[in-house]
Amino acid sequence: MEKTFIVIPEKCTGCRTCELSCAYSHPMASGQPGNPRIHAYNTKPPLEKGIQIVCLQCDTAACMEACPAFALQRNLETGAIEVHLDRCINCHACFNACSFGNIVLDPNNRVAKCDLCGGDPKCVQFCPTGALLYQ
Amino acid sequence: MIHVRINGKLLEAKKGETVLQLAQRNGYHIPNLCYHPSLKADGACRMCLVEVKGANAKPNSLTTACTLTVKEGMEVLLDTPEVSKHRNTILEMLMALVPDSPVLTKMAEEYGLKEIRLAQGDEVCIKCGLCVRICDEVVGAKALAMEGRGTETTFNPPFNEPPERCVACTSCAFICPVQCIPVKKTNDSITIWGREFDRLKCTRCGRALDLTEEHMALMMTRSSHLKPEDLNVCDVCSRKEVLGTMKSLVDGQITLERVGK
Ligand code: SF4
Ligand code: SF4
Ligand code: SF4
Ligand code: SF4
Ligand code: FES
Repeated sequence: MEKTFIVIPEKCTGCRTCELSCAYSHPMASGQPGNPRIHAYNTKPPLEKGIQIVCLQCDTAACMEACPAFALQRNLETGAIEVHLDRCINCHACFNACSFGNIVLDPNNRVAKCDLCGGDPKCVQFCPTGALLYQ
Repeated sequence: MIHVRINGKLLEAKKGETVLQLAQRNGYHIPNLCYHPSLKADGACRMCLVEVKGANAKPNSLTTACTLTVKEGMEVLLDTPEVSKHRNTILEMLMALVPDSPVLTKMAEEYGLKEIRLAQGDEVCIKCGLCVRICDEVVGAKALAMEGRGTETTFNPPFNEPPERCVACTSCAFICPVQCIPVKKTNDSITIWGREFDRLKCTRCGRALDLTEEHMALMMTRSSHLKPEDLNVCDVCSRKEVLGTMKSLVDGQITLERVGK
């Protein structure tokens, strides 16, 4: 794992472009966009700011420890914990286990989480203010 | 690398993988009902028949792809007349046992099975045992058991008492290949195998969680890091808590009003 995902809330405007780019780059089997795995929250005006919440790819990851099916596995190249939906038995244990709310449910009720887009995070590419970095 | 031909095409197989896995990895479709990647295949439904040549196989030998480990020089044929004849016989027997399954009806259409010549039963379950094995070997609740053999097989549940050790994780219903295990979810409860469980509520906002007391207890046996005070909080409130810890950055100016959640 060479690169680190960096979140800079000071630069975030809460525009949620990251959420859109995430949803569209992770379609479900049906082809419809999934739900975003990153969340950007707006601050109240007049302070035009935002805060992003995204998976930390924890060293000791509650999601991974909760999964009985070994459906969550760390990608050793990117360091991301990835969901292997073919193994997943949809028990939602990981969804309940993450204390940071970073496992999401897609509209088809299947679990999803940040996979760092396989090493090229789309949210980082699309964030207009440089509030997300991967370097 | 091991070299295997599927329908004449030379493919590189990984050591220890099965013909079904190799085929799926390379975009070939082999029909299957009782295979699930999180379990060791046990060849119960026999729908994944293929014909094998080479690598010491007997001539014209038919075998189940989910249990067949790849070997150097193996040749596998997927849709020979022999395969389709035997596969359709198996499908016909399954459909005699379970006549009204949309999953089986779709397979029959796909593989050209036109009529069922056997007396029809009124079962919904194909007795593949996947639910029992998932609950036992993966979930670890060991709530289900199989009794008897063949078409006389019954499950305990659904036919006997509601399962005492069930935690209502609903995984069995999710993986059942013919989708015959009913689950009823209301805002307060989850009902499966004829037993009603209370849903836990988020300790912050009161929203119903996709979790029961029993499932939470089972999850905590998997790791000492999983604690009720974390498991009892919904995903939205979990994120609010993260925001709370980042609060100094924006000094209380956060609004959590969003479309959806
Ligand atoms: S989903 Fe949650 S528990 Fe899992 S790695 Fe990400 S932040 Fe950690
Ligand atoms: S929902 Fe899937 S990935 Fe999550 S814990 Fe259950 S089996 Fe594992
Ligand atoms: S819902 Fe109950 S019976 Fe089904 S897998 Fe979970 S614990 Fe086992
Ligand atoms: S209930 Fe479903 S998973 Fe269980 S044996 Fe019957 S068909 Fe298989
Ligand atoms: S999938 Fe191979 S025997 Fe059922």
